[in-house]
Amino acid sequence: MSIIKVEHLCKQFKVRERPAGFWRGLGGLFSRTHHIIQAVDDVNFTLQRGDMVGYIGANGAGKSTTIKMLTGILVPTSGKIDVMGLTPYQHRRQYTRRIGVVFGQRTQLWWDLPVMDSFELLKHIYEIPERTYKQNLAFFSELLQLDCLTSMPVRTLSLGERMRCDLTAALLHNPEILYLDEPTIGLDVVAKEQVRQFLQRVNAERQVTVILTTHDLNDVEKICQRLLIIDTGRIIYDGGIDALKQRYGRTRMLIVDLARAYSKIQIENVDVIRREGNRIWLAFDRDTISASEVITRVTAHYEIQDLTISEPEIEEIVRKIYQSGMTD
Amino acid sequence: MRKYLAFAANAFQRTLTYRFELWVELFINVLFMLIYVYLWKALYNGRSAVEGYDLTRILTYIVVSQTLLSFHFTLRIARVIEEKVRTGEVVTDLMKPIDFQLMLLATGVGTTFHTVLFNMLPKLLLFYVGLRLLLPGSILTVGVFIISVMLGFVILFNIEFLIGILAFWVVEIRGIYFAVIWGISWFFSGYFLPLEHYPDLLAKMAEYLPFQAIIYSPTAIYVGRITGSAMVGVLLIQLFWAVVLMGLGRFAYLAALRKLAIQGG
Repeated sequence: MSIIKVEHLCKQFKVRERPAGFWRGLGGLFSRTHHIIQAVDDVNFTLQRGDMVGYIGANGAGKSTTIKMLTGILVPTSGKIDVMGLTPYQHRRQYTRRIGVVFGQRTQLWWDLPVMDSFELLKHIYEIPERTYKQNLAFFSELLQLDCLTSMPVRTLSLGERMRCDLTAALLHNPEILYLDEPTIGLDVVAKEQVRQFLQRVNAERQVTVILTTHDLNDVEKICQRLLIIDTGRIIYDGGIDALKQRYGRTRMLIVDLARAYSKIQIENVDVIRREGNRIWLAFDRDTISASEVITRVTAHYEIQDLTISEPEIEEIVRKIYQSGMTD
Repeated sequence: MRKYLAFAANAFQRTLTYRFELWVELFINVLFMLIYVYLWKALYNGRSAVEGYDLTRILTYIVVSQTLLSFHFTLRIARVIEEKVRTGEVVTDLMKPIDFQLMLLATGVGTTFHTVLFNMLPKLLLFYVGLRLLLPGSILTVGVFIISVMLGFVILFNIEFLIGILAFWVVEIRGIYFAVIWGISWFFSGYFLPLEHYPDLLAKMAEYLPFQAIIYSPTAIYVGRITGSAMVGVLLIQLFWAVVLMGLGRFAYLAALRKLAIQGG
Protein backbone atom coordinates (compact mmCIF):
# COMPACT_ATOMS: atom_id res chain seq x y z
CA MET A 1 0.00 0.00 0.00
CA SER A 2 1.51 3.28 -1.01
CA ILE A 3 1.82 5.91 1.70
CA ILE A 4 3.59 8.70 -0.16
CA LYS A 5 3.00 9.53 -3.77
CA VAL A 6 4.96 12.32 -5.41
CA GLU A 7 4.17 13.21 -9.02
CA HIS A 8 5.97 15.72 -11.24
CA LEU A 9 6.99 17.73 -8.20
CA CYS A 10 8.64 21.07 -9.01
CA LYS A 11 9.75 23.95 -6.86
CA GLN A 12 11.11 27.23 -8.16
CA PHE A 13 12.52 30.04 -6.10
CA LYS A 14 12.70 33.61 -7.24
CA VAL A 15 16.03 35.00 -6.17
CA ARG A 16 16.65 38.70 -6.09
CA GLU A 17 19.96 39.71 -7.51
CA ARG A 18 21.89 42.17 -5.44
CA PRO A 19 24.44 43.85 -7.60
CA ALA A 20 27.88 44.13 -6.06
CA GLY A 21 29.50 47.47 -5.48
CA PHE A 22 28.20 50.63 -3.87
CA TRP A 23 26.68 52.51 -6.80
CA ARG A 24 25.13 49.53 -8.42
CA GLY A 25 23.93 48.36 -5.00
CA LEU A 26 22.26 51.74 -4.63
CA GLY A 27 20.67 51.25 -8.03
CA GLY A 28 19.38 47.93 -6.78
CA LEU A 29 17.18 49.81 -4.33
CA PHE A 30 15.13 51.11 -7.23
CA SER A 31 15.14 48.40 -9.81
CA ARG A 32 15.15 44.76 -8.97
CA THR A 33 16.22 41.93 -11.14
CA HIS A 34 15.21 38.40 -10.38
CA HIS A 35 16.27 35.06 -11.60
CA ILE A 36 14.56 31.74 -11.13
CA ILE A 37 16.19 28.79 -9.45
CA GLN A 38 14.73 25.39 -10.19
CA ALA A 39 15.36 23.71 -6.83
CA VAL A 40 13.27 20.62 -7.52
CA ASP A 41 12.62 19.56 -11.08
CA ASP A 42 10.03 16.94 -11.99
CA VAL A 43 10.56 14.56 -9.08
CA ASN A 44 8.49 11.36 -9.00
CA PHE A 45 8.47 8.54 -6.49
CA THR A 46 6.15 6.33 -4.51
CA LEU A 47 6.85 4.91 -1.07
CA GLN A 48 5.15 1.96 0.54
CA ARG A 49 4.17 1.81 4.18
CA GLY A 50 7.13 0.58 6.21
CA ASP A 51 9.75 1.62 3.66
CA MET A 52 13.06 2.94 4.84
CA VAL A 53 14.53 5.22 2.23
CA GLY A 54 17.69 7.26 1.98
CA TYR A 55 17.46 10.54 0.15
CA ILE A 56 20.86 11.81 -0.78
CA GLY A 57 22.40 14.54 -2.81
CA ALA A 58 25.11 17.17 -2.66
CA ASN A 59 24.57 20.50 -0.93
CA GLY A 60 21.96 22.46 -2.83
CA ALA A 61 20.79 19.44 -4.81
CA GLY A 62 17.19 19.83 -3.62
CA LYS A 63 17.03 17.39 -0.71
CA SER A 64 15.85 19.78 1.95
CA THR A 65 13.46 21.52 -0.41
CA THR A 66 11.80 18.17 -1.12
CA ILE A 67 11.60 17.35 2.59
CA LYS A 68 10.11 20.77 3.31
CA MET A 69 7.44 20.19 0.68
CA LEU A 70 6.73 16.71 2.06
CA THR A 71 6.36 18.10 5.58
CA GLY A 72 4.02 20.84 4.41
CA ILE A 73 6.18 23.90 5.00
CA LEU A 74 6.77 24.72 1.36
CA VAL A 75 4.09 24.71 -1.27
CA PRO A 76 5.11 23.11 -4.58
CA THR A 77 5.27 25.34 -7.66
CA SER A 78 3.68 22.50 -9.58
CA GLY A 79 3.12 18.78 -9.25
CA LYS A 80 1.36 16.71 -6.68
CA ILE A 81 2.12 15.29 -3.26
CA ASP A 82 -0.27 12.83 -1.72
CA VAL A 83 0.63 11.51 1.72
CA MET A 84 -1.88 9.21 3.40
CA GLY A 85 -4.57 10.85 1.29
CA LEU A 86 -3.63 14.33 2.49
CA THR A 87 -1.95 17.23 0.72
CA PRO A 88 0.68 18.32 3.25
CA TYR A 89 0.55 22.07 2.66
CA GLN A 90 -3.22 22.29 2.59
CA HIS A 91 -3.97 20.02 5.54
CA ARG A 92 -0.97 21.02 7.61
CA ARG A 93 -2.45 20.93 11.11
CA GLN A 94 -4.18 17.60 10.56
CA TYR A 95 -1.12 16.22 8.78
CA THR A 96 1.38 17.19 11.48
CA ARG A 97 -0.35 14.89 13.97
CA ARG A 98 0.56 11.89 11.83
CA ILE A 99 4.19 12.62 11.05
CA GLY A 100 7.35 13.05 13.07
CA VAL A 101 10.20 15.31 11.99
CA VAL A 102 13.80 15.53 13.18
CA PHE A 103 16.27 18.11 11.96
CA GLY A 104 19.82 17.20 12.84
CA GLN A 105 20.84 20.82 13.01
CA ARG A 106 18.03 21.96 15.22
CA THR A 107 16.15 20.77 18.26
CA GLN A 108 12.44 20.81 18.89
CA LEU A 109 13.02 20.56 22.61
CA TRP A 110 12.85 23.63 24.84
CA TRP A 111 16.36 24.79 25.54
CA ASP A 112 15.97 25.90 29.14
CA LEU A 113 13.80 23.07 30.37
CA PRO A 114 14.57 19.58 31.57
CA VAL A 115 13.99 17.09 28.77
CA MET A 116 11.06 15.53 30.60
CA ASP A 117 9.19 18.85 30.63
CA SER A 118 9.54 19.08 26.86
CA PHE A 119 8.11 15.58 26.54
CA GLU A 120 5.20 16.52 28.81
CA LEU A 121 4.49 19.59 26.73
CA LEU A 122 4.52 17.50 23.55
CA LYS A 123 2.05 15.16 25.19
CA HIS A 124 -0.36 18.09 25.45
CA ILE A 125 0.39 19.52 22.01
CA TYR A 126 -0.30 16.21 20.28
CA GLU A 127 -3.02 15.27 22.76
CA ILE A 128 -1.40 11.90 23.36
CA PRO A 129 -3.45 9.62 25.63
CA GLU A 130 -1.73 9.08 28.97
CA ARG A 131 -1.34 5.34 28.45
CA THR A 132 0.19 5.63 25.00
CA TYR A 133 2.51 8.34 26.30
CA LYS A 134 3.71 6.21 29.22
CA GLN A 135 4.20 3.14 27.05
CA ASN A 136 6.11 5.03 24.40
CA LEU A 137 8.28 6.79 26.93
CA ALA A 138 9.15 3.49 28.57
CA PHE A 139 9.93 1.91 25.20
CA PHE A 140 12.19 4.73 24.00
CA SER A 141 13.86 5.24 27.37
CA GLU A 142 14.98 1.67 27.36
CA LEU A 143 16.05 1.64 23.74
CA LEU A 144 17.95 4.92 23.87
CA GLN A 145 19.02 4.84 27.53
CA LEU A 146 17.36 8.10 28.38
CA ASP A 147 17.00 7.48 32.12
CA CYS A 148 19.72 9.76 33.35
CA LEU A 149 19.08 12.42 30.68
CA THR A 150 15.45 13.32 31.20
CA SER A 151 15.99 15.42 34.30
CA MET A 152 18.69 17.54 32.65
CA PRO A 153 18.07 20.82 30.83
CA VAL A 154 18.46 20.42 27.08
CA ARG A 155 21.22 23.03 26.88
CA THR A 156 23.50 20.84 29.02
CA LEU A 157 23.22 17.77 26.78
CA SER A 158 25.85 16.63 24.31
CA LEU A 159 24.89 16.48 20.65
CA GLY A 160 24.46 12.71 20.75
CA GLU A 161 22.34 12.86 23.88
CA ARG A 162 20.24 15.63 22.42
CA MET A 163 19.65 13.63 19.25
CA ARG A 164 18.42 10.65 21.29
CA CYS A 165 15.96 12.93 23.05
CA ASP A 166 14.90 14.57 19.78
CA LEU A 167 14.21 11.18 18.22
CA THR A 168 12.01 10.30 21.17
CA ALA A 169 10.24 13.66 20.94
CA ALA A 170 9.45 13.05 17.28
CA LEU A 171 8.00 9.59 17.93
CA LEU A 172 5.97 10.03 21.13
CA HIS A 173 2.72 10.57 19.25
CA ASN A 174 3.09 7.39 17.17
CA PRO A 175 3.64 9.06 13.79
CA GLU A 176 3.17 6.90 10.71
CA ILE A 177 6.00 8.61 8.87
CA LEU A 178 9.28 9.87 10.24
CA TYR A 179 11.22 12.51 8.29
CA LEU A 180 14.84 12.92 9.27
CA ASP A 181 16.97 15.70 7.84
CA GLU A 182 20.61 14.76 8.46
CA PRO A 183 20.01 12.99 11.76
CA THR A 184 23.61 11.91 12.22
CA ILE A 185 25.31 15.20 11.41
CA GLY A 186 28.08 16.03 13.84
CA LEU A 187 27.75 12.78 15.80
CA ASP A 188 30.67 10.53 16.68
CA VAL A 189 30.88 6.99 15.35
CA VAL A 190 29.29 5.38 18.40
CA ALA A 191 26.40 7.82 18.52
CA LYS A 192 25.82 7.43 14.78
CA GLU A 193 25.65 3.69 15.14
CA GLN A 194 23.20 4.02 18.01
CA VAL A 195 20.91 6.25 15.95
CA ARG A 196 21.03 3.84 13.01
CA GLN A 197 20.19 0.81 15.12
CA PHE A 198 17.39 2.71 16.77
CA LEU A 199 15.88 3.72 13.43
CA GLN A 200 16.09 0.17 12.21
CA ARG A 201 14.17 -1.09 15.22
CA VAL A 202 11.54 1.60 15.04
CA ASN A 203 11.06 0.84 11.38
CA ALA A 204 10.86 -2.91 11.89
CA GLU A 205 8.83 -3.07 15.08
CA ARG A 206 6.48 -0.14 14.64
CA GLN A 207 6.13 -0.11 10.84
CA VAL A 208 7.10 3.56 10.77
CA THR A 209 7.95 4.70 7.25
CA VAL A 210 11.31 6.45 7.39
CA ILE A 211 12.81 8.95 4.97
CA LEU A 212 16.21 10.29 5.82
CA THR A 213 18.50 12.71 4.10
CA THR A 214 22.17 12.45 4.82
CA HIS A 215 25.68 13.20 3.72
CA ASP A 216 27.01 10.14 5.46
CA LEU A 217 26.54 7.31 3.03
CA ASN A 218 27.21 4.78 5.75
CA ASP A 219 23.80 5.68 7.13
CA VAL A 220 22.18 4.71 3.89
CA GLU A 221 24.32 1.68 3.24
CA LYS A 222 23.59 0.20 6.66
CA ILE A 223 19.91 0.84 7.12
CA CYS A 224 18.09 1.73 3.92
CA GLN A 225 16.67 -0.73 1.44
CA ARG A 226 16.21 1.94 -1.13
CA LEU A 227 18.12 4.95 -2.24
CA LEU A 228 17.03 8.08 -4.03
CA ILE A 229 19.78 10.28 -5.40
CA ILE A 230 18.94 13.81 -6.34
CA ASP A 231 21.17 16.15 -8.27
CA THR A 232 20.37 19.66 -9.45
CA GLY A 233 16.74 19.08 -8.60
CA ARG A 234 16.32 15.83 -10.50
CA ILE A 235 16.21 12.25 -9.27
CA ILE A 236 19.15 10.58 -10.95
CA TYR A 237 18.92 7.23 -9.20
CA ASP A 238 16.07 5.35 -7.59
CA GLY A 239 16.68 1.78 -6.54
CA GLY A 240 18.43 -0.64 -4.24
CA ILE A 241 21.95 -0.18 -2.98
CA ASP A 242 23.23 -3.50 -4.29
CA ALA A 243 21.90 -2.70 -7.74
CA LEU A 244 23.72 0.60 -7.61
CA LYS A 245 26.97 -1.15 -6.73
CA GLN A 246 26.41 -3.67 -9.51
CA ARG A 247 25.82 -0.99 -12.03
CA TYR A 248 28.41 1.57 -11.07
CA GLY A 249 30.77 -0.34 -8.87
CA ARG A 250 32.85 -1.96 -11.61
CA THR A 251 35.92 -0.03 -10.65
CA ARG A 252 38.20 -1.70 -8.14
CA MET A 253 41.13 -0.20 -6.37
CA LEU A 254 44.50 -1.80 -5.70
CA ILE A 255 46.67 -0.09 -3.13
CA VAL A 256 50.32 -1.03 -3.47
CA ASP A 257 53.29 -0.29 -1.19
CA LEU A 258 56.37 -0.34 -3.36
CA ALA A 259 59.66 -1.54 -1.94
CA ARG A 260 61.56 1.38 -3.46
CA ALA A 261 60.86 4.57 -5.36
CA TYR A 262 60.12 4.36 -9.09
CA SER A 263 60.20 7.46 -11.21
CA LYS A 264 57.52 6.25 -13.58
CA ILE A 265 54.80 3.68 -13.20
CA GLN A 266 52.88 2.45 -16.18
CA ILE A 267 50.64 -0.59 -16.44
CA GLU A 268 48.29 -1.35 -19.30
CA ASN A 269 44.52 -0.90 -18.54
CA VAL A 270 45.30 0.42 -15.06
CA ASP A 271 45.18 4.05 -13.94
CA VAL A 272 47.48 5.44 -11.32
CA ILE A 273 45.14 7.80 -9.57
CA ARG A 274 47.20 8.78 -6.56
CA ARG A 275 50.78 8.61 -5.28
CA GLU A 276 52.03 9.21 -1.78
CA GLY A 277 55.67 8.38 -1.25
CA ASN A 278 56.03 4.73 -2.11
CA ARG A 279 52.33 4.04 -1.87
CA ILE A 280 50.29 4.10 -5.08
CA TRP A 281 46.58 3.77 -5.80
CA LEU A 282 45.68 1.87 -8.94
CA ALA A 283 42.17 1.86 -10.38
CA PHE A 284 40.92 -0.68 -12.88
CA ASP A 285 37.67 -1.87 -14.39
CA ARG A 286 36.91 -5.42 -13.30
CA ASP A 287 35.20 -6.16 -16.61
CA THR A 288 38.32 -5.25 -18.59
CA ILE A 289 40.95 -6.76 -16.39
CA SER A 290 40.81 -9.12 -13.45
CA ALA A 291 42.37 -8.35 -10.09
CA SER A 292 44.81 -11.25 -10.30
CA GLU A 293 45.94 -10.09 -13.73
CA VAL A 294 46.63 -6.60 -12.34
CA ILE A 295 48.63 -8.06 -9.47
CA THR A 296 50.62 -10.24 -11.85
CA ARG A 297 51.50 -7.27 -14.03
CA VAL A 298 52.47 -5.10 -11.10
CA THR A 299 54.69 -7.72 -9.49
CA ALA A 300 56.30 -8.49 -12.86
CA HIS A 301 57.61 -4.96 -13.27
CA TYR A 302 57.96 -3.58 -9.78
CA GLU A 303 59.26 -4.71 -6.46
CA ILE A 304 56.46 -4.56 -3.94
CA GLN A 305 56.15 -4.76 -0.17
CA ASP A 306 52.43 -5.04 0.40
CA LEU A 307 49.10 -4.69 -1.38
CA THR A 308 45.37 -4.48 -0.65
CA ILE A 309 42.29 -4.51 -2.83
CA SER A 310 39.43 -2.29 -1.81
CA GLU A 311 35.75 -2.77 -2.55
CA PRO A 312 34.00 0.12 -4.22
CA GLU A 313 32.78 2.51 -1.60
CA ILE A 314 29.29 3.73 -2.16
CA GLU A 315 30.61 7.22 -1.61
CA GLU A 316 32.94 6.78 -4.53
CA ILE A 317 30.09 5.57 -6.71
CA VAL A 318 27.86 8.43 -5.80
CA ARG A 319 30.63 10.93 -6.41
CA LYS A 320 31.05 9.49 -9.85
CA ILE A 321 27.36 9.76 -10.57
CA TYR A 322 27.34 13.38 -9.44
CA GLN A 323 30.26 14.18 -11.66
CA SER A 324 29.14 12.45 -14.77
CA GLY A 325 25.37 12.36 -14.50
CA MET A 326 23.46 9.16 -15.19
CA THR A 327 25.33 7.88 -18.18
CA ASP A 328 25.89 4.19 -18.61
CA MET B 1 -7.29 24.68 25.37
CA ARG B 2 -5.41 22.22 27.55
CA LYS B 3 -2.32 22.46 25.36
CA TYR B 4 -2.20 26.24 25.58
CA LEU B 5 -2.45 26.05 29.37
CA ALA B 6 0.49 23.68 29.22
CA PHE B 7 2.38 26.28 27.16
CA ALA B 8 1.64 28.98 29.71
CA ALA B 9 2.76 26.75 32.60
CA ASN B 10 5.87 25.90 30.65
CA ALA B 11 6.77 29.53 30.00
CA PHE B 12 6.18 30.32 33.66
CA GLN B 13 8.59 27.59 34.62
CA ARG B 14 11.22 28.71 32.12
CA THR B 15 11.15 32.19 33.59
CA LEU B 16 11.92 30.68 36.99
CA THR B 17 15.31 29.66 35.59
CA TYR B 18 16.49 33.25 35.57
CA ARG B 19 15.96 34.25 39.18
CA PHE B 20 18.87 36.62 39.56
CA GLU B 21 17.75 38.71 36.59
CA LEU B 22 14.38 39.11 38.31
CA TRP B 23 15.81 40.52 41.50
CA VAL B 24 17.95 42.98 39.58
CA GLU B 25 14.95 44.09 37.54
CA LEU B 26 12.80 44.55 40.63
CA PHE B 27 15.54 46.59 42.31
CA ILE B 28 15.99 48.91 39.30
CA ASN B 29 12.21 49.32 38.91
CA VAL B 30 11.85 50.35 42.52
CA LEU B 31 14.67 52.91 42.19
CA PHE B 32 13.01 54.53 39.17
CA MET B 33 9.64 54.58 40.85
CA LEU B 34 11.22 56.36 43.83
CA ILE B 35 12.58 59.05 41.49
CA TYR B 36 9.11 59.62 40.03
CA VAL B 37 7.55 59.74 43.48
CA TYR B 38 10.00 62.43 44.67
CA LEU B 39 9.58 64.33 41.43
CA TRP B 40 5.84 64.54 41.87
CA LYS B 41 6.15 65.40 45.55
CA ALA B 42 8.40 68.32 44.59
CA LEU B 43 6.02 69.48 41.82
CA TYR B 44 3.01 69.38 44.11
CA ASN B 45 4.76 71.31 46.88
CA GLY B 46 2.15 73.82 48.05
CA ARG B 47 -0.51 72.85 45.47
CA SER B 48 -3.70 71.02 46.28
CA ALA B 49 -4.73 69.56 42.92
CA VAL B 50 -3.93 69.72 39.20
CA GLU B 51 -6.46 68.54 36.57
CA GLY B 52 -8.38 66.63 39.22
CA TYR B 53 -5.37 64.92 40.71
CA ASP B 54 -4.33 65.70 44.26
CA LEU B 55 -0.95 64.46 45.51
CA THR B 56 -2.16 61.07 46.80
CA ARG B 57 -4.05 60.43 43.60
CA ILE B 58 -1.16 61.37 41.31
CA LEU B 59 1.21 59.21 43.36
CA THR B 60 -1.25 56.33 43.11
CA TYR B 61 -1.49 56.92 39.37
CA ILE B 62 2.28 56.89 38.96
CA VAL B 63 2.79 53.76 41.05
CA VAL B 64 0.04 51.81 39.27
CA SER B 65 1.06 52.93 35.78
CA GLN B 66 4.73 52.25 36.47
CA THR B 67 3.75 48.80 37.67
CA LEU B 68 1.73 48.13 34.53
CA LEU B 69 4.65 49.33 32.42
CA SER B 70 6.41 46.10 33.41
CA PHE B 71 4.34 44.33 30.72
CA HIS B 72 6.46 46.18 28.16
CA PHE B 73 9.62 44.74 29.66
CA THR B 74 8.57 41.12 30.13
CA LEU B 75 6.43 40.36 27.11
CA ARG B 76 9.05 40.70 24.35
CA ILE B 77 6.95 38.68 21.93
CA ALA B 78 8.25 40.66 18.94
CA ARG B 79 11.77 39.67 19.88
CA VAL B 80 10.73 36.06 20.39
CA ILE B 81 9.26 35.93 16.87
CA GLU B 82 12.29 37.64 15.36
CA GLU B 83 14.53 35.07 17.02
CA LYS B 84 12.36 32.20 15.80
CA VAL B 85 12.47 33.49 12.23
CA ARG B 86 16.19 34.26 12.31
CA THR B 87 17.17 30.84 13.66
CA GLY B 88 14.59 28.99 11.59
CA GLU B 89 13.00 27.63 14.75
CA VAL B 90 9.68 28.82 13.34
CA VAL B 91 9.78 25.76 11.10
CA THR B 92 9.62 23.39 14.08
CA ASP B 93 6.64 25.36 15.41
CA LEU B 94 4.86 25.02 12.07
CA MET B 95 5.29 21.26 12.19
CA LYS B 96 3.24 20.95 15.34
CA PRO B 97 -0.53 20.79 15.55
CA ILE B 98 -0.81 24.15 17.31
CA ASP B 99 -1.86 27.68 16.48
CA PHE B 100 1.19 29.94 16.35
CA GLN B 101 -0.58 33.07 17.57
CA LEU B 102 -2.35 31.37 20.47
CA MET B 103 0.81 29.50 21.39
CA LEU B 104 2.69 32.80 21.71
CA LEU B 105 -0.18 34.38 23.63
CA ALA B 106 -0.07 31.45 26.05
CA THR B 107 3.71 31.81 26.33
CA GLY B 108 3.27 35.54 27.00
CA VAL B 109 0.66 34.88 29.66
CA GLY B 110 2.98 32.39 31.38
CA THR B 111 5.95 34.75 31.40
CA THR B 112 3.86 37.71 32.48
CA PHE B 113 2.09 35.81 35.24
CA HIS B 114 5.49 35.27 36.70
CA THR B 115 6.18 39.01 36.53
CA VAL B 116 2.85 39.79 38.13
CA LEU B 117 3.63 37.48 41.01
CA PHE B 118 7.27 38.30 41.65
CA ASN B 119 7.60 41.86 40.40
CA MET B 120 4.38 43.78 40.00
CA LEU B 121 2.49 42.74 43.13
CA PRO B 122 5.50 43.21 45.45
CA LYS B 123 6.13 46.68 43.96
CA LEU B 124 2.52 47.71 44.35
CA LEU B 125 2.40 46.45 47.92
CA LEU B 126 5.68 48.10 48.87
CA PHE B 127 4.64 51.53 47.61
CA TYR B 128 1.12 51.18 48.88
CA VAL B 129 2.34 50.61 52.42
CA GLY B 130 5.14 53.18 52.13
CA LEU B 131 3.04 56.03 50.69
CA ARG B 132 -0.46 55.19 51.94
CA LEU B 133 -1.88 55.29 48.43
CA LEU B 134 -5.52 55.27 47.34
CA LEU B 135 -7.42 52.02 47.16
CA PRO B 136 -9.96 51.42 44.39
CA GLY B 137 -13.38 52.74 45.34
CA SER B 138 -15.17 49.42 45.56
CA ILE B 139 -14.88 45.70 44.98
CA LEU B 140 -16.56 46.28 41.63
CA THR B 141 -13.83 48.75 40.67
CA VAL B 142 -11.20 46.16 41.57
CA GLY B 143 -12.95 43.66 39.29
CA VAL B 144 -13.21 46.12 36.41
CA PHE B 145 -9.59 47.15 36.95
CA ILE B 146 -8.41 43.53 36.66
CA ILE B 147 -10.43 42.96 33.47
CA SER B 148 -9.08 46.22 32.06
CA VAL B 149 -5.50 45.19 32.87
CA MET B 150 -6.00 41.88 31.08
CA LEU B 151 -7.47 43.55 28.00
CA GLY B 152 -4.57 46.01 28.00
CA PHE B 153 -2.20 43.08 28.11
CA VAL B 154 -3.88 41.41 25.13
CA ILE B 155 -3.65 44.69 23.18
CA LEU B 156 0.06 45.03 23.90
CA PHE B 157 0.58 41.38 22.95
CA ASN B 158 -1.08 41.91 19.59
CA ILE B 159 0.92 45.04 18.81
CA GLU B 160 4.09 43.14 19.62
CA PHE B 161 2.89 40.19 17.56
CA LEU B 162 2.33 42.42 14.53
CA ILE B 163 5.81 43.91 14.86
CA GLY B 164 7.31 40.45 15.27
CA ILE B 165 5.62 39.13 12.13
CA LEU B 166 7.44 41.82 10.15
CA ALA B 167 10.57 39.71 10.70
CA PHE B 168 9.32 37.44 7.91
CA TRP B 169 9.95 40.30 5.47
CA VAL B 170 12.74 42.37 6.94
CA VAL B 171 15.91 41.10 8.55
CA GLU B 172 16.04 43.66 11.31
CA ILE B 173 12.98 44.66 13.33
CA ARG B 174 14.77 46.15 16.31
CA GLY B 175 14.41 49.70 14.97
CA ILE B 176 10.68 49.36 14.46
CA TYR B 177 10.36 47.65 17.81
CA PHE B 178 12.06 50.49 19.68
CA ALA B 179 10.15 53.12 17.75
CA VAL B 180 6.74 51.60 18.38
CA ILE B 181 7.06 49.96 21.79
CA TRP B 182 9.56 52.18 23.56
CA GLY B 183 8.62 55.33 21.69
CA ILE B 184 5.06 55.68 20.50
CA SER B 185 3.51 53.19 22.90
CA TRP B 186 5.20 54.67 25.97
CA PHE B 187 4.36 58.18 24.91
CA PHE B 188 0.69 57.58 24.21
CA SER B 189 0.09 55.02 26.94
CA GLY B 190 0.21 57.68 29.67
CA TYR B 191 2.66 55.81 31.84
CA PHE B 192 4.65 58.88 32.89
CA LEU B 193 1.88 61.40 33.08
CA PRO B 194 -1.92 61.10 33.14
CA LEU B 195 -3.31 61.87 29.69
CA GLU B 196 -5.32 64.74 31.21
CA HIS B 197 -2.02 66.60 31.57
CA TYR B 198 -1.23 66.28 27.85
CA PRO B 199 -1.83 69.22 25.48
CA ASP B 200 -5.29 68.95 23.90
CA LEU B 201 -4.10 67.83 20.50
CA LEU B 202 -1.90 65.04 21.88
CA ALA B 203 -4.57 63.96 24.33
CA LYS B 204 -7.02 63.74 21.45
CA MET B 205 -4.55 61.68 19.40
CA ALA B 206 -3.97 59.35 22.33
CA GLU B 207 -7.70 58.81 22.61
CA TYR B 208 -7.88 57.40 19.08
CA LEU B 209 -4.87 55.15 19.43
CA PRO B 210 -4.78 51.70 21.04
CA PHE B 211 -1.82 52.50 23.28
CA GLN B 212 -3.77 54.40 25.95
CA ALA B 213 -5.81 51.23 26.46
CA ILE B 214 -2.70 49.44 27.70
CA ILE B 215 -1.82 51.60 30.72
CA TYR B 216 -3.97 54.72 30.99
CA SER B 217 -7.37 52.97 30.94
CA PRO B 218 -6.78 50.52 33.80
CA THR B 219 -4.87 53.09 35.86
CA ALA B 220 -7.57 55.73 35.47
CA ILE B 221 -10.12 53.14 36.61
CA TYR B 222 -7.96 52.27 39.62
CA VAL B 223 -7.58 55.88 40.80
CA GLY B 224 -11.24 56.65 40.22
CA ARG B 225 -10.88 59.02 37.25
CA ILE B 226 -13.16 56.77 35.24
CA THR B 227 -16.20 55.58 37.19
CA GLY B 228 -19.69 54.15 36.82
CA SER B 229 -21.01 53.50 33.34
CA ALA B 230 -17.96 55.21 31.81
CA MET B 231 -16.01 52.12 32.89
CA VAL B 232 -18.15 49.94 30.61
CA GLY B 233 -17.40 52.28 27.71
CA VAL B 234 -13.66 52.02 28.37
CA LEU B 235 -13.83 48.23 28.56
CA LEU B 236 -15.70 48.15 25.24
CA ILE B 237 -13.05 50.32 23.57
CA GLN B 238 -10.35 48.03 24.95
CA LEU B 239 -12.24 44.97 23.70
CA PHE B 240 -12.58 46.62 20.29
CA TRP B 241 -8.81 47.14 20.04
CA ALA B 242 -8.03 43.67 21.33
CA VAL B 243 -10.25 42.03 18.72
CA VAL B 244 -9.19 44.26 15.82
CA LEU B 245 -5.47 43.86 16.54
CA MET B 246 -5.83 40.12 17.04
CA GLY B 247 -7.53 39.91 13.63
CA LEU B 248 -4.83 42.02 12.01
CA GLY B 249 -2.19 39.80 13.60
CA ARG B 250 -3.83 36.70 12.21
CA PHE B 251 -4.05 38.25 8.77
CA ALA B 252 -0.38 39.27 8.83
CA TYR B 253 0.62 35.83 10.07
CA LEU B 254 -1.24 34.06 7.26
CA ALA B 255 0.43 36.36 4.74
CA ALA B 256 3.80 35.53 6.32
CA LEU B 257 3.06 31.82 6.01
CA ARG B 258 2.23 32.19 2.34
CA LYS B 259 5.41 34.12 1.80
CA LEU B 260 7.41 31.43 3.60
CA ALA B 261 5.70 28.63 1.69
CA ILE B 262 6.37 30.19 -1.68
CA GLN B 263 9.74 31.81 -1.24
CA GLY B 264 11.16 29.53 1.38
CA GLY B 265 11.87 32.35 3.81
